[in-house]
Amino acid sequence: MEQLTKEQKDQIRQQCIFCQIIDGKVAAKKVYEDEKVVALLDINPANPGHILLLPKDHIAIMPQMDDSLIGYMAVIAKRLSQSILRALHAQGTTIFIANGTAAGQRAPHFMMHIIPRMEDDNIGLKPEMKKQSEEEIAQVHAALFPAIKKVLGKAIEPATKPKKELEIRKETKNAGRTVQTPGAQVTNPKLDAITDLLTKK
Amino acid sequence: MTCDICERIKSKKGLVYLSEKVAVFIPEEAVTRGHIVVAPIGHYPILESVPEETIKEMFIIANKVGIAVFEGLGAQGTNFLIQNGTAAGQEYPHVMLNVIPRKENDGIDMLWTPKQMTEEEMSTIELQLKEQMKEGGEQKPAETRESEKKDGAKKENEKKEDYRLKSLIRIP
Repeated sequence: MEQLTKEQKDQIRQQCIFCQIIDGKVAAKKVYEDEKVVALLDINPANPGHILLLPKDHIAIMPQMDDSLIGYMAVIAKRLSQSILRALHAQGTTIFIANGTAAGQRAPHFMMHIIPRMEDDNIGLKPEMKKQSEEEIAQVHAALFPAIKKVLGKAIEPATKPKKELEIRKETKNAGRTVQTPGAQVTNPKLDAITDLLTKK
Repeated sequence: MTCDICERIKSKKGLVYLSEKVAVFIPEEAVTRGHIVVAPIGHYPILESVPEETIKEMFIIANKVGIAVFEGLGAQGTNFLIQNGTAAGQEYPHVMLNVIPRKENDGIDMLWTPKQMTEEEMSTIELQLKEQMKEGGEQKPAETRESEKKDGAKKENEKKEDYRLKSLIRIP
C-alpha cells in the first residue's frame, strides 16, 4: 500500500470512530488494553458480553495486517474467549470476522468479534451448510491450488482433476454495493475502498 | 473413539496445505463455494485447549488462505468463523477456523439482531471481564504449565476444566 503522510494518517484517525475510542476521545467500556490492541464491549451486542478486539493502528482489513500482529490478536482472542466462559458462564463462544462489505463489515477498522453463546440463544451465526460433491471439492481445489501456492509458498495438488472448471462469476465493479441482510442496510462510501482493496489483483 | 476431522486430515481428501501444526482442507459441507477449513493437526476439541503457538499459526495461515480466496475464486469479502462449543454450533469435537468466501447479495445471513442493554448491565459485565482478564484470561502461571507436563497432573487439570468441555460431551 502507498505510504500516507502523517497528516493523512491523522485525518483517517479523526474520521474513524474506533480510532477515536482507542485514542480516548470517545468513551467505551474497555475490558482489555495493551500497547498493540484494545478489547471493548460492543454497544450493539449479539449477546451480553459481546467483545470487539481491535488493533490500535488503523487497519481496515485483515489482509493488511502483518503476521505477528495477527498471531498476537489470535492469542488475545483466545484469552478473551476463556474469560467469557469463566466470568460470564457462557456455554460457548463464537469468534467472527468480516472482511469487506460483502461479508457484512460495517466499520472501516479491522475487528474480531468474540461473542458469548448459550444453548438455544437463537442469535444466528450458525450458517447453513450444504453438502459438496467430490467433483465440487475437486473444482474448488483446482481453482485454489495456484493461489494457495502463491501466498503460502507451497500447496497440495488435487488428487483428481475436476471434469469441469469452476465457474467464477465476475461481478461488475459497482454491482450492488449495498449489503442486503436482514437488519442491516449498509451504504458507506468509506467502505468502498475496502471492497476495492479486497478485490484488486 | 476416532475423530472425523483427524481422519479427514489423515485421508488427505481435499487437503490443500499442511504444515507441522496446521492443516487446510476443503470440507464436505460448505456455507459457500470455496469454503475452507483451517484446523490444528493435533486433536484439540475446543479453542481453549489449543496451544498459543498453534492458534497463532492457524490465524496467520487463514489470513493467507483468505487472500488466496480473493485471487483464486474472485470473492468480494471473507468471513472467518470459529464455533466454539455446541452452543455456538460446533458439530465436531475438533477446533476449526472456517474461511468463508462472500459475494455481494449472496444470500448468506451472518448478521445478528443487536440486543438492548442498560448502562448498568454493561458496566457489570465490563468489570467481570476486566477482572477475569487480569486472572484467568491471562497466560497460566509458569508453575501450572510445569505441572501440565507431568501426565498425572495433566489429567487432574483436565478434570478441572470439565465445565468447559461439558457442552461438547453431547456431541454423538
